[in-house]
Amino acid sequence: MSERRLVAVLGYSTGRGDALHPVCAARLARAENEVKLDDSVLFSGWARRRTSRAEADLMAQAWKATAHRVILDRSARSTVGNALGVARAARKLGVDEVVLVTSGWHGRRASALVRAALLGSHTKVTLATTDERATHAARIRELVCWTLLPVLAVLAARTR
Amino acid sequence: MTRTLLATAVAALALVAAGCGGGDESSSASPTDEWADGFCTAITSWTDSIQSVTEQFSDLSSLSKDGLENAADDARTATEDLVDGLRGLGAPETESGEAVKDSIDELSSTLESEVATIEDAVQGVSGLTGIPGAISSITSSLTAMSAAFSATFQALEDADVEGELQTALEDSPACADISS
Repeated sequence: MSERRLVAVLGYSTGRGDALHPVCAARLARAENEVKLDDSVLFSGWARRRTSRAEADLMAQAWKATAHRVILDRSARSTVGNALGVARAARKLGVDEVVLVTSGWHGRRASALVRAALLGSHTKVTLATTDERATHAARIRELVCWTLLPVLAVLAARTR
Repeated sequence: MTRTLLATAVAALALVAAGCGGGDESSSASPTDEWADGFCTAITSWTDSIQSVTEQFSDLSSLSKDGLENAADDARTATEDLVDGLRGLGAPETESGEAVKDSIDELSSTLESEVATIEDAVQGVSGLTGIPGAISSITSSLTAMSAAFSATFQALEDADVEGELQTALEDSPACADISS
């Protein structure tokens, strides 16, 4: 029997434009290469503006691969939110493995938070990353968020 | 600590370079470059200081009232320095300067408010709340600070339509110290 996997694609957008952001499109392409027919796929990400479409919807619309099931989480507003949604879906589906798809510069923090949110389960977390370069603002943001990670991990581990 | 030393060294070198030039030579750094340098130096100093605070959350069982008080003191001092540093920068001389300043002012207010909440939570430990209640409150406050930082950085990127700030951040020695 094959392992049951959840391929979770973390969204990305800015306050400019309503189309799928290139960073998000790259993550989607990475997920399309990664996914197998019997995998479930989760698209995670909110609408940054009230008038725009959720990252999850934009990814679902652009998705070209075939998967066993597609789930949308339009509520995730941050990486902590992404992680909590991924863990919730993984527990509900009872998967053995979560394949987390995001950018390389975001992967370390995102996977740490998903692992914290899955604390107590035996679900394996693996990373599938894209290799685009982060902007300096994104790097500074990652530095700050990484510094606060122990606290955010406590929050993720406590929230079910 | 390394980052602080490095940032300090970079700042010192910049001062030396500015002070030891030959006569009427002016600094080649534009006001926007100086703004970016100051911004990154303030952020890296804060992250270095706050790291010792957040590391305590890796093992909640070892947290004591004294430990929480020290952590709250460290968080307050580091955050006051950061807010002073950020407010002192004013608006960068870019198209999006005022929008950037507004975002940073909003971040500063949030940071001050959340640090005050942390201090209140720690001071209440001997009362009814106890350490678990304080930890919960501190976690919420630090999470709110993290969200405020994220929102601010996103706002800076969104406002910087011309890419002036992005270029300044790329050229800044203090920002270059921040690895991906």
